[in-house]
Amino acid sequence: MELDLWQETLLQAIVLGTPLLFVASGELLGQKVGVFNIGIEGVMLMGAVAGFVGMHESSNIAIGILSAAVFGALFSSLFALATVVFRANQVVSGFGLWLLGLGLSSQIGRGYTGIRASNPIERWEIPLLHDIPIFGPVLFAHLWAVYLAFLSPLLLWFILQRTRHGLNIRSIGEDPAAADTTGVAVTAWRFLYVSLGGGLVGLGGAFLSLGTSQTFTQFMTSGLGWIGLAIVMFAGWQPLRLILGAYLFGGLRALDFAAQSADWNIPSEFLAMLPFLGTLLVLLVGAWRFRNRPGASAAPAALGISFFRGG
Amino acid sequence: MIVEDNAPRSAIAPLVEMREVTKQFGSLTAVNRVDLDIHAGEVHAILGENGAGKTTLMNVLTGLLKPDSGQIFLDGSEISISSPRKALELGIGIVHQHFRLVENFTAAENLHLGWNDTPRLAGNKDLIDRTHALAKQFNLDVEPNARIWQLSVGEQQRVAILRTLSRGARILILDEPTAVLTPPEAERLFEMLRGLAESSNRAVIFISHKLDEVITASDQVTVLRAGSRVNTLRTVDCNQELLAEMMIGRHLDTQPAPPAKDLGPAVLVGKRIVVRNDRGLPALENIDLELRSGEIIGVAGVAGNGQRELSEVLTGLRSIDTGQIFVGDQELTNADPADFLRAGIGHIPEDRYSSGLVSSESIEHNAILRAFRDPPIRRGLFLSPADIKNHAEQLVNTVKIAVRDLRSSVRALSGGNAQRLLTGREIAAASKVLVAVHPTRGLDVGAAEAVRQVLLKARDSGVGILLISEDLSELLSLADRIVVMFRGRLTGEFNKYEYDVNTLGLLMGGSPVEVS
Ligand SMILES: Nc1ncnc2c1ncn2[C@@H]1O[C@H](COP(=O)(O)OP(=O)(O)O)[C@@H](O)[C@H]1O
Ligand SMILES: [Mg+2]
Repeated sequence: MELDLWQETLLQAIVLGTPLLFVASGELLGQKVGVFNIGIEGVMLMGAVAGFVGMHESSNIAIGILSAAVFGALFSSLFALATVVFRANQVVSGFGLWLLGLGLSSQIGRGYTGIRASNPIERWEIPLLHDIPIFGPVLFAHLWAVYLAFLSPLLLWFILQRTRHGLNIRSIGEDPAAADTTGVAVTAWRFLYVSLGGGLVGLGGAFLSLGTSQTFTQFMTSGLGWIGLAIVMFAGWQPLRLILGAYLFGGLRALDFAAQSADWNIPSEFLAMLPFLGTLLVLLVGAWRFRNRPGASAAPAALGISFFRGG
Repeated sequence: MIVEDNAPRSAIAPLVEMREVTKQFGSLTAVNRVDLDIHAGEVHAILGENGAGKTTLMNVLTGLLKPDSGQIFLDGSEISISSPRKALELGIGIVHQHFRLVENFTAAENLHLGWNDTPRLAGNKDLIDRTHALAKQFNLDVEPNARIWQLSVGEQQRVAILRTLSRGARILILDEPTAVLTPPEAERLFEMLRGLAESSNRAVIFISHKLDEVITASDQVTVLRAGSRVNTLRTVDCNQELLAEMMIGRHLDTQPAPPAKDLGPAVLVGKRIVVRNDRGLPALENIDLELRSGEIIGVAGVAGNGQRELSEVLTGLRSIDTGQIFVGDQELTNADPADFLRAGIGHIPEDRYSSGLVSSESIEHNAILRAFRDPPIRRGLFLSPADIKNHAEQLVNTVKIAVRDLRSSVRALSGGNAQRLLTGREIAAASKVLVAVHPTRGLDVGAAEAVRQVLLKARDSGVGILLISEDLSELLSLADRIVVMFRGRLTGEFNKYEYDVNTLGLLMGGSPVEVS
């Protein structure tokens, strides 16, 4: 079926928003327990390469996806070890993680560049829903990982807002000392969720190498990890709003494609810049919203602060 | 009558007994063989000065600290309390001075946080419903959906109390519960505690150093002094004088320092100063103060009665709502801290590591904090390393501390040496006035004495010193005049050799006393 330009743009918005949704969900999970990982760009690259290598060596897409998640989590657990267990500065460690991911992924991926994925992520057309006029083909004819990405913020929301465990781990990000006094295991949960968040980020990387590009190239994430950070802020740290944020940013990227195919007379550089301009705007609006409560923000109050018992 | 009253009480075994409990920190015995009996249905006050060991004793009872010796019995059988969690399981719960609530959470969320009775699946509505039910059960007025930062301190405290009670506390401990409350809030709290003890047969222990509230709110009172239990009495048998004397003891063992010789002109004058604190409550009310060159005025009082605000106001760190401040004949009302410094005011702040010294910086840099804006250290846009070193060396020599490397972190200094460095630096800056807050707190005897000598020397050279301290014996020894601070007001004034410890104690505790 032929899609018109707007349908095509919307479809692209969702596709391009999907890696962002994975990345932002993973980052949000870590931030909710108070850990700010600015190195997720590096984690994403590791996911992209681990996913590709896993798939290539096993000729099995499930193993590819799984290894992206596992290596994303393991790689982030290095960061968790530094920041949560040894209480290193989160910004400095995150920066290191980014550089490490950059170098390590291109080193590992060296032997795999130029190879096309033999078993990429498949397209699933959802029966019936797919036949809805206009929206059906836009929303329900995607790579299956697109649906998975859509589910991750829903799952996060459910855990964080609807369960006892979610209440406990949210308190770790807000006030670890208070959480500690009520018996919540601050360090253990921080470690676990920063690592699990890394797994989600890794999936975001694999979505590129096994889904949209179907090949691994050096530095292929090209800044998506950083945009993922902005989406977390845009969402005001609320899981459900990640969906809006990710697709909106995906839409900004899709505009670039739309402009090219429709021959709009807008410089491509300008359109490519939009997501980053949007990021800047998000930061400004975030600061503006809390102008009357100095020191307050929608962020978890203990975000970025190491926890020392009795300190 | 007394005997009759006492009989049924002693017939019932206490809910909790502490026997000969001792807790040491290094060489300091914070709690020394203390006995404590707590009965169901009573409100038991633990009274003592700051540092008497009240909090430490309660930390032992709630499992935060392990006692070095002694036993604890609950319902007649010996127990060991390994952690606050364990204590709460046994029914012993504490509401800390800082409530440890999550500011951005609602009351309902705070109540259910880290609690095994919270259902595994629970949305906001479930939490709110459960909170309503618990508030009703314990007859506490709590708004489940309000976020903690939106609540007054009194309301926050109710959330913390409800949390402790909900988790099954049969013995409810409150550490200085009124320190942060307004008087009406305090009254309401005590009414509630009374109701709780009587209706549900729980025991309430509250820690206090305020005589009036102990008299009005408790059934029994245990007085601690310097780690030891002085006595346990029925409150009806006490009056404020008796309690004040037990709490403070006699400080006659301290030798007063020689008095000021000649007083110069007034160097620091405050007129009708009014200040609101960070929460918008009155912190200083109509303070009038005149400090003259060459004298030490001691400000006595229990922490939290406006001393911090007073010291900040007099050093330019906090602006005042109404009133005037003069240094010499220069008006400095609401001037910058830098103007106060230029006018010759030094400041030894309450917390030497967070406001007096920059703990991440070197000794050298800390030494020049008051001097680097001027030559010889400042040379145009630059600072001269040689003069920095010189200045720091001089300071270190004057205050007689042994330092191996001036560039090492100030954190490497012992508490006593850090305080000497700070004192020396501020006295050098204080050509007219020194505002010193708890300058010897936490120091050992030798270090404290050294700091005192430095203060006396500065006084004799003509500096006016405002000495804010909780250590009465220090004030009795050093001050040429003592004023008492209570709830933001200066309530009494004594001249040297005319001090009456009991009257001082009463004033510090807030009872009205006729001062002649
Ligand atoms: N963790 C600690 N380490 C060392 N000394 C302590 C510690 N806690 C309290 N102290 C000291 O023990 C004494 C009693 O303190 P505390 O129980 O807090 O007194 P109070 O609550 O009656 O004001 C004080 O001299 C205090 O400095
Ligand atoms: Mg205390």
